[in-house]
Amino acid sequence: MADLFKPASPEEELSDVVEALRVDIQFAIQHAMKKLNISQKQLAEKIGCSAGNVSQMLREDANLTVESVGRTFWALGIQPKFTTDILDQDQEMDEEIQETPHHLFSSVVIGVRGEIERFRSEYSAKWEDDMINASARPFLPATSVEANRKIWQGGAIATPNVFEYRNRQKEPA
Amino acid sequence: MTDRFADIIQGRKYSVAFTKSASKDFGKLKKDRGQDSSRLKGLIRKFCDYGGPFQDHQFKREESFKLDGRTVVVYQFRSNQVRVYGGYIDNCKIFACTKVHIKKTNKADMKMLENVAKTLVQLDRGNNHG
Repeated sequence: MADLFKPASPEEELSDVVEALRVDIQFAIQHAMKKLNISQKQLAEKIGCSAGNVSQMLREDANLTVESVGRTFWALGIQPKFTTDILDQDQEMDEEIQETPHHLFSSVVIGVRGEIERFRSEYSAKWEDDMINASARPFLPATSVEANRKIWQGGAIATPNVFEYRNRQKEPA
Repeated sequence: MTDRFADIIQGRKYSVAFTKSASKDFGKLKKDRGQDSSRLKGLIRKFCDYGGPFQDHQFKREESFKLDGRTVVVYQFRSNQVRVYGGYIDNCKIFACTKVHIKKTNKADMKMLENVAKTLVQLDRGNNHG
């Protein structure tokens, strides 16, 4: 439905990214000013510039530099944060991993060395040690069946995960 | 509800909807005034998510009209000379943009603003306009 806002060319996409960033910064400054009940004049005094300079920072043609933006947030007593879509996604994934019950982990997630190590205390069977020793990179089940077979000493399951491992544990010796 | 509009941008706080004619005019901006179009997209997205605060040169109340026994307020998003006029409908859940205009004089075109207000009233009644 919102095709109107989708960029139709790389040039438009670039323009959208630049303007969105400019609006983001200006909006954050305006929001902080409102929250702290600070006028443009008061902010200018804190920064050590003229009220006109502050006004210019909030206009369409503002030439925002890291220095000017940093100085403004410093004057407001606020720590600015810079983030990107991909950084937010990674953070969300980390939070999901911490919240997800262990039995719901997929083989792809458990294939990352860090995640395996997180499970070490709970699942200390030999296959885990083998897996950690054999592969320190993300597991790619669809393209590395043979590698998985070597790691998974049972050989029957190409994409081991905790679920399957639990089932194996239940099997009588 | 959505068949009244050509495009809807949804955010955490508001949805901003464009009528067919406003959507068409906004599309033309992309070619002629790319930077203004991009800036307006940024402002509208912020409006969708937060509602404000905005400076007067970004988003402001432009005019109000007594129509159909009630007061209709026309607002504008602006970037340089470009204005996107609209107002709240559906109990302030939707901000409907009904007119995209490149302003050439300082004085507001009251007839155009009144037409925007009339369109808002019609949209609020649920009629199919564009």
